[in-house]
Amino acid sequence: MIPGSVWPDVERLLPRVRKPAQYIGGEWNAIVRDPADVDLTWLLVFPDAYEVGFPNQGIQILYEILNERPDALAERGYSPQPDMEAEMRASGVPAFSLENHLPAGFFDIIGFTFPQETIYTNTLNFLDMAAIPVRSADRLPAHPIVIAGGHAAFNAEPMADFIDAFVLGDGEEVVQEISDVVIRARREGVSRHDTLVELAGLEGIYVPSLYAPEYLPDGRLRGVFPRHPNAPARITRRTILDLDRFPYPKRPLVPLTEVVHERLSVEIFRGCTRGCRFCQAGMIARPVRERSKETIEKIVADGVAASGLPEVGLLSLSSADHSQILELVTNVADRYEGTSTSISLPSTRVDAFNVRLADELSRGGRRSGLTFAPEAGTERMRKVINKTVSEEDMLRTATQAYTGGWNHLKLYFMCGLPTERDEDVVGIAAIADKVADAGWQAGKRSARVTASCGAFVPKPHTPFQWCEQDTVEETDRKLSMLRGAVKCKRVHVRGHGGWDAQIEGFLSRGDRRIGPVIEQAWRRGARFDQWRDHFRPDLWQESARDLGVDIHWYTNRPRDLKEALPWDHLFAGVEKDWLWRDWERAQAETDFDDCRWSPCTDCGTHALGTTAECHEIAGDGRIPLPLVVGPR
Amino acid sequence: MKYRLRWAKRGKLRYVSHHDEALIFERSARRAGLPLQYSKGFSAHPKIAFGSGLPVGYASDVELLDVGLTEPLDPAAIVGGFNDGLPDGLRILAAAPLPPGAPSLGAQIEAADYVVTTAEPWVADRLRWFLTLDTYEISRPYKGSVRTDDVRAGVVAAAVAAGGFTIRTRLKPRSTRPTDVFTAMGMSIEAGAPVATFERTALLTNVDGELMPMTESWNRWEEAG
Repeated sequence: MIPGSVWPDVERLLPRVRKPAQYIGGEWNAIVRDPADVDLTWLLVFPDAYEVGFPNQGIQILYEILNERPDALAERGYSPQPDMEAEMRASGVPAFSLENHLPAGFFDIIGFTFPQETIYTNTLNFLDMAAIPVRSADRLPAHPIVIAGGHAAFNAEPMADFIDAFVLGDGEEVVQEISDVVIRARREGVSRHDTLVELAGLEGIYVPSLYAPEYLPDGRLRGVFPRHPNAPARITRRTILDLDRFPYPKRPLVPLTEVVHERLSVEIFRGCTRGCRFCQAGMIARPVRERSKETIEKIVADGVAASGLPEVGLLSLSSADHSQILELVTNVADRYEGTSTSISLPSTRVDAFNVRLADELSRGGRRSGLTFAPEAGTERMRKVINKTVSEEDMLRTATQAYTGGWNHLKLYFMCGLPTERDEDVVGIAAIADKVADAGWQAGKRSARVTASCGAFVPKPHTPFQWCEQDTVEETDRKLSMLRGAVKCKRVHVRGHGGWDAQIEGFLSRGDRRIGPVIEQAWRRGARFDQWRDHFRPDLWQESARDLGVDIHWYTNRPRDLKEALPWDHLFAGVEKDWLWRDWERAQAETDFDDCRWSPCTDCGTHALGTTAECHEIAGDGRIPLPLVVGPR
Repeated sequence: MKYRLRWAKRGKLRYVSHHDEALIFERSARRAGLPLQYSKGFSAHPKIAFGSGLPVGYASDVELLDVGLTEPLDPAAIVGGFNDGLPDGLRILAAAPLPPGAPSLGAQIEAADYVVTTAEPWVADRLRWFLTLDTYEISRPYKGSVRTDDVRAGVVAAAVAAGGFTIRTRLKPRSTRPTDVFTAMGMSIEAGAPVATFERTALLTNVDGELMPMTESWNRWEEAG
């Protein structure tokens, strides 16, 4: 039975909330279909505010793929902002989709994306506002199947009580398989439990209710073990090897109201093998899979025509690493020469060569800010994290950028990296000062530097998954030391750490026992935990204390190789042995080069059946500096 | 080459802001390949100018915008081009060329007519009471301080009509909104408040001391005269 649209109820609330356009749908290229015409309905949810979630590429891609099926449709949902939530709860309006304004509880499958861990409370809130029990075990046959994917799904345990099935890795193929299974299950009257068992049989799907964690007497995890014959002991992530088979977006959604990125985003490759040891994305999305220049150019041309968006973003984890980047950018730039369409390369390493690239991209436009990400303040520290760049090269690049007309360089750093000493923190200030000085020397009287320093949060499936995270007090001490060490007036330091990093770390490396803390924090009002103005550390502290969970045991405690980790049964493509060896290399301050242009270090990715592709990725041997040119 | 376009805002799209509208029109023109004229300089903006922002939530068939194109086009082609790329709820209704030197919409538009529809029975009495007032000041936070406006002075005329009232308000020096009058009448838009719908029915300009409706043909009165 298809319920009526809740639009009239929603509309009554709109005069009283901020940014009402976030709740109306109707975006250009939105796909509105009749649920009566299909066998299966998906609701794809980014559990954060519309303005943050709208640009998400994962949702865009799956939205198109699912809506291409004649027998299934997909609509979108986002978290209502706190003012809207209050209005909706007061009037009994449920969480809804944006296409047909249907109650979220109507859909057969709700698919959440978890780009990071701090949206877990919003996820529970969305389920609750949809009148769906937040705990998986309490759901009835009529309730939607609740699925989650995205980077944070690679440690599924913290949300294991709330999510029916996790999807690991690339979603393009597996959403089709899930759709097929659920359509058949419904047709044949298969029970909810048995449907989940069938889903567990698909590659890359983790159904946590079919597994149970066991603990050692000292509180450490013994492991997470299957409790059903259909549940594999280890779940291997899904990997699309040929991105050209999925040339999305074809019809990019264009927002009607302001969102954080308003550009046509085109992914030019997936994965990264530079091996930065702090970077989860670089470890869980191997190998590098390039999209061909021809496919990219076609997506760009069609997408610009279909969207009218004035900016094209060529996306990846490190865009200048595409083997044909120069040709690609030149071709796209030529195509839009003289028009008002601009090109950007967010997340791009910039070396001297790429400063010229950045110059080209900003031809005739504003040259306000160029962002560099050296990540650490000393050469020793950069060896530890395997993001090697010499200070000399960095300064030469800075000089070139200032000479080329850029006024403002932004530098990204982390503090609290493993083995960090005070001199490494002071080194951040020294680099920022030197970069500002390079601008002065280059004759830029207006040269400015922003040094942004975030507290490092160790992530699962990285070589740093075993290390202790700095305490809140230690982070504060380091950040104030950093502020005190900066000499140049033109350097502005922005530090962030404290409790938000601590809670992020707790959620990142937690096990199934922290689920109740998430639920409790949410019940006490935790929402939008990654938003500075909404984050309430006290709610987390109280919830953990009341439930007898020690946040610091999860964050500030080093692990050893013998300890079972909550994500050991989820295989992201890099073997635990390799990660441990790399952790040892880190402690020995040993860096190594990208396997695209140096020997294979046998990380395990070939186990994904990618042996050939893993080593055949084109690379010209160029080793760009680890710098990033941002979208202003 | 400049054109004046009359357009409508209805349905769900009523909740996009004035700032959003400008981007939506720009993108629809880009999708249609209309030769939009852009400003020079660091951040190029299309030459699209609105006379008076329609408050969020209001419907209208009488909105106007002026758009600069780099080459002359048949008005019908402009209307069609925009409409092919406009989301449901926004629609261009008519277009006419604008002679060089024509005054801007901002300079021309002085006041507007609205129809307020509400099922509330108290409206007639409250409106009559409001019209007996000499002044009615409301204060609102504005850029860090508080700004006080005389809502009564901003109302040129108002009359009870079936299902609500009609009202003519000034847009200069600052826009007086029917919503403000609604508030002045003792009704806020807080939870549980009655629902009213607001529609703008005319944009008005001063012609020889008289307020006359604007259309896309800016010099209609001269033609008529």
